[in-house]
Amino acid sequence: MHTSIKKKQGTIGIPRGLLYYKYFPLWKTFFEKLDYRVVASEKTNAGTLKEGSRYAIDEICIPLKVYYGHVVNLIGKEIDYLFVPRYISTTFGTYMCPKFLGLPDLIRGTINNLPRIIEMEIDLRKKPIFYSMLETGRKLNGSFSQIKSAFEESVKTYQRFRIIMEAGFTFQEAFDSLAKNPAEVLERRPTGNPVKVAVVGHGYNVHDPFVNMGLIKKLEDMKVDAVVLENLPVQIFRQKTKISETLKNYWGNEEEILSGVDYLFKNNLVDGVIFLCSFCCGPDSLIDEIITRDAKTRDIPYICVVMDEHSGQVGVITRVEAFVDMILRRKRSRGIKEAG
Amino acid sequence: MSEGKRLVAFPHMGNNWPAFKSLFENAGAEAYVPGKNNARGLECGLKFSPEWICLPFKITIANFIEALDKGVKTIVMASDCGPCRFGFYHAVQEKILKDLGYDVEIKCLLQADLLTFEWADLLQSIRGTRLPLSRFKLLWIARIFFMKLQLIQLAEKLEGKTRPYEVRRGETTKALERCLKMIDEAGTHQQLRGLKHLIKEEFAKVEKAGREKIILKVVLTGEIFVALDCFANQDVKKKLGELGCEVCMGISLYDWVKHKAHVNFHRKYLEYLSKSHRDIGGLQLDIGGEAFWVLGQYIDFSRGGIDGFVHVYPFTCMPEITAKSIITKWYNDGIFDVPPLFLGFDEHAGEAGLMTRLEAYTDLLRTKKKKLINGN
Ligand code: SF4
Ligand code: SF4
Repeated sequence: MHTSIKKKQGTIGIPRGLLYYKYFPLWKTFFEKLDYRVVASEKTNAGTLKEGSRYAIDEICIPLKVYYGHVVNLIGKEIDYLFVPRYISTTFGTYMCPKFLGLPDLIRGTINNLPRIIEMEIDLRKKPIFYSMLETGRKLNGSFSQIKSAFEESVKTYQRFRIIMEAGFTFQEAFDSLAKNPAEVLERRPTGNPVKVAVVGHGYNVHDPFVNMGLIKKLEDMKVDAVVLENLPVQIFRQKTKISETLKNYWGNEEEILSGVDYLFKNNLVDGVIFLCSFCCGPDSLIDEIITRDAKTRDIPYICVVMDEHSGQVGVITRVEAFVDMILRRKRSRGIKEAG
Repeated sequence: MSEGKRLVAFPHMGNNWPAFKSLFENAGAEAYVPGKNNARGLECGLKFSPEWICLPFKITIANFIEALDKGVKTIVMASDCGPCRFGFYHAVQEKILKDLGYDVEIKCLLQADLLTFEWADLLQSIRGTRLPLSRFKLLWIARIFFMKLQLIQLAEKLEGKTRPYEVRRGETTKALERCLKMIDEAGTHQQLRGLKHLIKEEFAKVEKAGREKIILKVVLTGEIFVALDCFANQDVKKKLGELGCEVCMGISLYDWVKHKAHVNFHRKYLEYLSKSHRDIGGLQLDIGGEAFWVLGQYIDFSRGGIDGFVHVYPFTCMPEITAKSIITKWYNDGIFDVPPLFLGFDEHAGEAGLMTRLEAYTDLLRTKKKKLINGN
């Protein structure tokens, strides 16, 4: 009945880039519970990058250019608000990459004709997440109780999402199955391929098939099992990683990569590790160095695939193929040794 | 080297070595000052650095290798707790150097907040003897350090002001070098206090031409290492001076240390400027590097008094690129009308290309200024 459908308060556009690939289920539930319609921009395609590059300066990393592209895409749609979060710190004592810290400013400072921006400042060093969401909810005319229940609901959704991903699904699969009946979902994907490789990196590189040039799919075609960080048990990410005696890691995103890789290495869970990074990415340039050294001492195959606008699909795939071949050869020669 | 003193090295950043040298020497160690940064050193640094790390990493690791080859075992490197790459420098550099087989200990000078007095522990630990530094002595050391930095700042300021007028090329640079030597040699408060006057005199002695040509006033600012180190920025300050620009330094180590000790009110003002321009993209918080204050400076200077704004940064520097994006847009949209020039530096940047860009830029500024003077 028409009367029972409450009128939505407006539409919030969420760019499909950067932290979208981590928190979208959470954001979506939160805003929907506050009675807003949520639209995401279209999936990344060549046009996204092209549009984005028109606004971004040359030297900026691709994920940001892609993000610009998604923002531009949303401006063309009918939205009332644009959601650009400011993630400063997601666990105690860490920071995000400088570009996340200044993201709303960067968007405001470089793109004209923006709709109203909804910022959400997440800074766990200073305030609990609920406060941040309360602030945001208030701006969207939510009442306290409404915001509280929206918050609880969204956290629940997010946790469920993580559990599904932990069971071995990809981002998109997990997201799609959120709508399904829980009983149907929790079945692990059948595996049984001879080679298992971890693909690590920032969510926006690993889960965006356009950006990584369909790497995950390609690996499947090569009969290689791909594990992503979210497939690993959640509790391993709780411990702080140490870089050296004097330094604890302080980058939120990198924290996951480092502890994930550490876990994989220590437990010998995979035959090799592929690190996807973007050209010009600040944190990755150092993290790569640290993992390379670690992999060398532990004698585990590792490559770092750097993606920029001009790196053709062919180049990347050739490198990955050679990498997989190398793993196969290693396995075979080890097998012979063990047998003999 | 006298018995029992520990030899300590530190990165060479611009003209600030006399201050660091006195800091460590007063604490009771022997200071090793790496030679001026140069192309050969950088080449060596490149070999051992991650491929696309920012330039300061590559230059500082070259300093360390030079020092280690001379028998130094202790290195002091500043560190921060995020959000930028800088905080990782010392840890990764230590790993690299150890893997190369050097017996090295990198001590980090945590600069996140100087009022936590962690630097006092550091000074104690490089002392070589167990005898504790008294509180009085610590403050004395810190005061000398501050005074030296302040004098260096003064010398750099005067250098920028004097160069466009010099009659014989290179005299200003020589005057600067004499000043640094004086600052290095002075050891007590009295001597340092007297130096202020002498430094001014040094630059006054440089023979100056009349003001017949149009002198431009340009701000040089950006990421601290590249802005202050004349090898890293390919002598951009000198080049600008010789092209007829008074160069006003938007940054100095003194300024930075003051900020970290919470007594820099000018920076607070710049923060306010950036924050209050929220609607057009002024940054709301420190995102690392100098971005926050660079935006503030740009707004501040756009209100008058300068002709150009030169922003230097290491290629791929995250915070400065953010600032660059925003300033570029502001200028293109006509919100502010001081033309900015952005110069990103890495090991590939060619000298000739830089010169052409600087010439074009100063020509542009000059045409603009002429129009202004002639009133149309
Ligand atoms: S972490 Fe790297 S890729 Fe991501 S925004 Fe920062 S610089 Fe860009
Ligand atoms: S401010 Fe720039 S140069 Fe300094 S560590 Fe950060 S990215 Fe590198």
